[in-house]
Order: sequence, then C-alpha cells, then structure tokens
Amino acid sequence: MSRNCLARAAVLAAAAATTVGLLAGCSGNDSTASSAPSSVTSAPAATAPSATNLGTRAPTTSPGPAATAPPEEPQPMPNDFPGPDAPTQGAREQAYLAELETHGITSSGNGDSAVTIANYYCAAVRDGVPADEITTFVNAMAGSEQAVTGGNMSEADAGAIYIDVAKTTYCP
Amino acid sequence: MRRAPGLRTRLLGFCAAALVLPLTLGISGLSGLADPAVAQAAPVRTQTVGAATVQRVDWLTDRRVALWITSPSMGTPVQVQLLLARDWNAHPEARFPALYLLDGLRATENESGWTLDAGAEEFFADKNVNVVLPIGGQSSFYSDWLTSDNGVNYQWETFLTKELPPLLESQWRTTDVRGVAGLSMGGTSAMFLAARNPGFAKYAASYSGFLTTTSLGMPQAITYAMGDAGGFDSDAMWGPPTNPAWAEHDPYLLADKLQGVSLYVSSGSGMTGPYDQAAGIPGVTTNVPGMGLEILSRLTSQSFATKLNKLGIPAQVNYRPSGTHSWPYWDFEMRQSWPQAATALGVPADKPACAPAGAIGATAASNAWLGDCITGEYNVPGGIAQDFRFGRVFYSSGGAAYPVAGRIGGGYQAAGGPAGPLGMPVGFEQGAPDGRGRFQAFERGMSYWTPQTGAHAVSGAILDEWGKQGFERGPLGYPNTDESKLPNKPGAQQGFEIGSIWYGQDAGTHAVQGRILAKYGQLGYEDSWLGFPKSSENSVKDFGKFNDFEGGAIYWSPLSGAYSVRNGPILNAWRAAGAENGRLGFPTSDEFDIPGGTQQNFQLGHITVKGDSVEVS
Repeated sequence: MSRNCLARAAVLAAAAATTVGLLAGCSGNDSTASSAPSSVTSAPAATAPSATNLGTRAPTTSPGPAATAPPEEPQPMPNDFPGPDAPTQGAREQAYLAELETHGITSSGNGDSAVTIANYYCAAVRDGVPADEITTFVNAMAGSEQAVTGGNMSEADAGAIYIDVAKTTYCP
Repeated sequence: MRRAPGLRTRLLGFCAAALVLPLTLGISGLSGLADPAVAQAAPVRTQTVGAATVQRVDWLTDRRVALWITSPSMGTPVQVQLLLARDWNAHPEARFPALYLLDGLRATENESGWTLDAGAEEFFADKNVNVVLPIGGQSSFYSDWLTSDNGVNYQWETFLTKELPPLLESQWRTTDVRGVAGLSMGGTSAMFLAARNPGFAKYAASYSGFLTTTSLGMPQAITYAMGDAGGFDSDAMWGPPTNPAWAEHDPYLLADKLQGVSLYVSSGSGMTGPYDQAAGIPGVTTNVPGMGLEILSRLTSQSFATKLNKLGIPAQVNYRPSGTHSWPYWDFEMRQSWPQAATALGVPADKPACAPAGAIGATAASNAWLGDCITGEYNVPGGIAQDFRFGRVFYSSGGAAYPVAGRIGGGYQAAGGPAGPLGMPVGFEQGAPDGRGRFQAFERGMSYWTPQTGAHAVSGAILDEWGKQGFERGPLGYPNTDESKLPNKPGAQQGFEIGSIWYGQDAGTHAVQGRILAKYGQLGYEDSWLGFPKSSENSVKDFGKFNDFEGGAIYWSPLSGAYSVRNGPILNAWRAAGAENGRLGFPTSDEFDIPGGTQQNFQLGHITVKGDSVEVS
C-alpha cells in the first residue's frame, strides 16, 4: 500500500507543481495592486512535467484484518517537497519512551507521536507559554494517544506523566 | 442611461434615503450574471419568505465577486466571496460545481485566508469550479451554535447547507455538485458538514483539521483555542463537554456517514518544516502555538484515519513529516488535493490547451502581468475575447486588443462587460493625474477606480455632465456607485464622492451635492414633488447655494440650513420680494400646514397662504 501511495503522491505533486509554475505573474500593473498580494512565493519549484490523470483517484486505505491502525510512519512525501525527513530516534528519545513505559504509558506506533509531545512541552516551556495552555494541550495530546493505544488513564493523569517524564529525561 | 441593472446602490453612505426607498430595492438578484440577455431581464425582487437574499454585489475582478447575503438564520448580512469558474465568461450558459473553502479559527471579517494568506485566487483561476469563500466566522467551526456569543449568533451550518446553495444555484450558475475543504477548524467542519448533511458534498478535505472533538482532553483544547481566537466560549457553541452536541459534530464518531464521499486528510507533524523558522534546536520551531495545534491535528487525524480504515472507507491520507499549523502548508495541500477534488466534482484537473495568437497574442506578450491564457478566444458582442490568469483581453474588429483587469475589470463586469453600456475597451488602463485613481476608456464611456470608491463606469449624458464639471478634478470627485435606472420615472442616477448626478428625460442632466442632496433625499428624491433637478448647484450670497428642481428649489446657506421652496404662491411671493437678497432672506423651514393654509419661515419673516390670499410678513 505504501508503495502505491508513494506513486500517487508523486503524481499529485507533479500536478500541483505545474500549476505553481504559472503563478509568477503579478498584477502590479493594474488596479488590483491595492489588494493584498497572496503569498505563494515559497511554493515548491515548478519543474515537473505535466501530470497525467493517474493521480486523480482517491486510493483506498485497504481495509482488512491487518489494517486496523493508521499508517504508523509518515507517508512518503512528494519528492519535490522541501523539508526534513521523518525525525530519527536516538538514545534520548529511547530513554524517554522507556521511562513513559515504566509509568504505565504505552506509545502508539514507533513512538514518534510521544516524542512529539515531549518536543512540544520542552519548546513551550522554553518559550514561556502559559502553564495552563501547556497542560491543556498536553492533556489533549495524551488523550489522543490513549485513544489509539487503548490506555485507560484519565487525560489529566496521563498528561502529568508526559510532562514529568519529558522534564526529567528529555528536555535539553 | 440605457442600462437596466437590478442594482440600485444610491444608498451607499447615505442614511436618510433608506427611509423613503421601497424595501425591494437593493436586491441585486440577477445583475451579476454575465449573460447579458439574462441581466437585462426583470431582476428578482422578491424571495420566498425565509430564504436568503443577496443584498449587495461587489465585483472585485472580472471573476471574483463579493456577495452580501441576508441570512434568515443568522439575522445578519454575511459576506461570501466567489472565485468564478474558468469558463464563466467564455461559456455564459454553463453552470459549475461548487468548492467551498473554509477558513481557520482566526478567520477575519474582510477576507478569507485562502485569498489573503494562500494563493487560491491565482490557483483556481484556471479551474472550472466556482470556489465559495464564506467570510468571517472566527472560532465558529461553521456550526449552528446553541446560543449567541460576543454579539453574534452563529448558524453557519444552516447558512452553508440550506440557505446558500439555492441562491448559488438560482443566481450564480452553480450546480448541486459540491465539495468542501478547510484548514484547522475548517477541516473539522468539512468532515462533519459532509457527514451530517447527506448529499451535501461529494468531496471533503481536512488540512490540519481536528478530527476528533470528544477524545479525552480535546474539548478543553478546543475551548482554549476558541478563547484564544476572539474570546469565544465553547459553551455557547456546543455546551459543556458533556453536552451531546460535541459528539454530534465529531468527525471520528460520524465517520461511518462519510461512505461515498471522496476524502482527503492531511497534516504535518508540528516539527520545523520547510516553511518554518527554526528555533536553533533541531526540529523545533519558533511557532510554538502552531506546533501544539498541529500535533493535535496530527494525532486526531490519525485516529480519524484509523476509524475510516476500520470502516473500509477510502481516503487519501497525507501525513507530512514536518510542518506547523500555518498557511504555507495549507496552500501546498490545496494544490496537492486538487486532482482528487476535480475528479470528485467531475471537472478536468487541467486547463485545456490554449495559445494566444494574432492581436490578442501580441497584447498578451507585451503585458506579461496578464499571465498565461486559460481559455481560447471566444466571441463577445463587438469582437473577440480571451481570458488570462490575471485579466481578459478584448479585440474589436478594426481596432487593437486591450487588456481589462483588476478592479476595473470587476467594474466592467458589473456594468455588463462588452454587452453593457461601455462596449469594448479602446485604450489601456492608466493612472489619473492626481495619483490616486485609475481609469480606462471604452467605446461608449469610461471606467474609474480609486481604492476608496471601487471601480465604476460612467457613460452617456452623465459622463458628459461630469466631464463638463471637470471629471474627477471637478466638485463631484470620483464615481462611487454605478449608474442606476430609476424605478418609477424615466431617468437614471449615479453617485459620486461629493454628490449625485440625475438624468431626467425632460429635465436634463444635473448634479446635486452636500446638504441640498441630503434635503432632496429626505423629501424623496425624484419621486417627491420636487421631481428631477433642473440645474446643477448655483452659488448665491453669503456662501449660499441652490438647485432648481422641476417642482421647486432647494436653498442652502451656512447660517440658514437647507430647505425646499415649492413652485407656486410661496416661491412666487418670495422671489417677488427679492428671494434671498430681499427682506426675507434664506428659507429657514420647509412649508408646513397651519389652520386654513400653509406657511414657510424665512430668516427675517414668513409667508402664509390661505386660499387665494398670500401674506408676506
């Protein structure tokens, strides 16, 4: 399935890119000049050839006995999408996930979602985000994780564990 | 003069007039249609009770229009902008599917984020759908709220699914084939609107939407986000988290209702992506609030996709490995998802082949700002046209080819385009000497635009009179309404910044300004006993002014104010006494009834009429 999605995604990207390339014109020479210009300058580079119609059908996320979870890995991006690959997990991430486990929190998938929660927590604290906002958001993230993993902790209990474990084992 | 629009916009900026105009005025109905035959037909002036009505139509370009729609459910005018389909002009008989694009929590009252922060206008210029952009609705989730909050009564679901579609279908050449896409709260809405309203949408797309609303902690996070975006209270929306309204709007719980709808779901990861500023720590962005919202969107989108998967409902799911909750990614997803949207809505994803040639090609080549062609050449009354991404080019036989674009292009559409009173363009758009306005010449008139007034056509006798007074440099300034045919008398009227010009079949063409115009409006304009103006403004002593009208005159001076004097014994007696130069001075009242007759007061006396007896004292 993921190979299929990759192929489709690439075609979709090609279709999008051809239209992006047409946006270079601007209307500064006429009376629209007073209206706010749209910011599309950072759109992907437009060198892809014209797309065929292959990409125009929505693929099925093949249902079946083995398909009861969402794709755990981020789906491959079109190859003209500029940006980093999926984050890699090093020793710090592994330690954080292991510590969560000892507090009774199972992580979904390969643990990327749980790591993302820690990244949010650390960044929010560093940026001085109000504590109630941090707690509210981490609790909702924890609640979503619990929903996926079938955990039965309250979101407040789970949220508090994510925060404690991130603080002690993960934040720089 | 010869135009028959349904739109009568003399009210702009003019409160007193509202009291005297019939209620049916101002419903622009069919005036926006490009088909001239239809535009000339009697406009729709009545609507079924309870139906939404279009109050006002502003053409922003030749294919971008702002509608102000009276929503019975919301009890207020709602702005909806349309990006009209590629073939709107080239195929004036064609109808098009609708693609609703919903905004985020921070939707503004003036413009959709899809045109302000993303490139929807340019991107959809060559797509054959009518893009529908509801304006406003900050923090609304486009749902029907339980109670009003912050002075607004959000009933967006009713408006978008019940009130708007019939209006688009009857007046804006839209079919009942619809798709709905949105970012953030708009992604949540796209899914639940499609699920809750069977048959409403053939396609639904969520870009970074929150696709569970009831998972543990989510109601609190949504509540927090709504408080942050405009200080809205989620209690007013769906009650406390225990209220069933939360579940009734939860895409996750409604997922089984989405069978048969073409679905697109995307989200980033919250980590620094190509469009984010890195914070100096690998993967971490400076946009921390956008990071938190995107993580929530990602986690809830994964839950939703899992649910779809279990239900065997197909969806295109696109998880980006990075990226925060911000517009460059939604612009990206708008483009990514288009081929799927096009298939679901039954239109080609790509524009047809076209190649500008001949005179039109030469004009397009020397005006590169027009962009690429999006249609072939097609016939219009008086010549040939071809549409480009940022404007249209018109060629009239024996003449050259000129572009018409931007706001003047919008004003040209509002005035009926080549089939309207202006006819074909005969020159390029250029700047006015004052550096503020721009104008373009057409066969039978001019179009003038300023940032303050918008673009309006001026033609015929009104153009002659305005020109005689000095065009935009004269006392009236720029036009700020289109010319409108008068409802009850043969004639027309057009508003300018400092006054209005009337054309009456017998009275000629004259301007009325300032306080005299206000008094004229108070009395009922041309429908009153004054009839049409017979002169433009004349200057008299003490900085006074007056206009003659068919039925009398209105005099104004700084000390006395503006008052009417009716033809007949009072006006005769006053003028016999020297009018404003005589012993009575300027009028200080209109005429009024007294026992047995009428009286009018002047600065230094009054005139009474009882039967045949006229007394000046």
